Amino acid sequence: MIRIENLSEIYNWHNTGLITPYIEQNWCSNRAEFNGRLASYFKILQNQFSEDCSYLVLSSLGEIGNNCFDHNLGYWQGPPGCLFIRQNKYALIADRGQGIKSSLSRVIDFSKETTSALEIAYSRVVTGRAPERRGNGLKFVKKNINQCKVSLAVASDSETISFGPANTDIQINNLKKPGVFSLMSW
Amino acid sequence: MKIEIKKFGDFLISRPEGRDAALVIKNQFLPKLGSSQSIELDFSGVIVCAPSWLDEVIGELVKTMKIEDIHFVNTTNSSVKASLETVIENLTLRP
Repeated sequence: MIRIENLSEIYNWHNTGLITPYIEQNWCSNRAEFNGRLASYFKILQNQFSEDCSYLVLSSLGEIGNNCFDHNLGYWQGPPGCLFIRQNKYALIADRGQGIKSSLSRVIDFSKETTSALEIAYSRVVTGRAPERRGNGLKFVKKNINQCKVSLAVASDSETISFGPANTDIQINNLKKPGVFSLMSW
Repeated sequence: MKIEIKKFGDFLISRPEGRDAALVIKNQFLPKLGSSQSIELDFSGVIVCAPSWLDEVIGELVKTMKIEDIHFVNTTNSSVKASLETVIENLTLRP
């Protein structure tokens, strides 16, 4: 079982927006900062995965992280940006934006929909930024984590979804989830 | 015409950067095509590619040419290969 460091601080920030020194240390206030930290994470991933999977996991994290900046313009619930924690056995990306259901509600009528927003986001080619032609990224992520035997737990808008075995001590249902919270572990 | 993708960077993740690359290809490379109707995208030297970046580039190219006329070479990098599969598969799903 993988232990997530400083979990109470992370929960507290995600639920209240409180930025502690640990949160600040792992904070990306813009896309360029996120992508820079992602690039420097590559060496760690190379030591954890096969060559092919190190590329696939890195590009999957890139998709998740860039979604924070793609889908929350005008909807941040505090300082714009995302938390990006990079460890040997897990990576955590979380934002306090509008959340996936809110974003998709522009193109999906959830009053008539029985499938959860997270399930839709990870299975259908659909985007909250329609009519822009997007919506490939999370399906790509799902395919890659299955191929590389990585676990992914996601929470947003009081919904959760997970892929792969639960291998961390995180209680993702305890979050109030005012945005998106994604934990990839291996 | 051969376009070396690594000249746009070796870490190709975000849509805004993909859109910039697409505009450069559209405005500076495609006008030099001449009578040739096909281009070759060479991915040698690319470390990581994500579908968001690639979708912007291919999405722009297919506005003016057929997907069959775009040739992808040196695509052995797993993220390049997986991103290409994702983007090309979804081109057929679009209206």
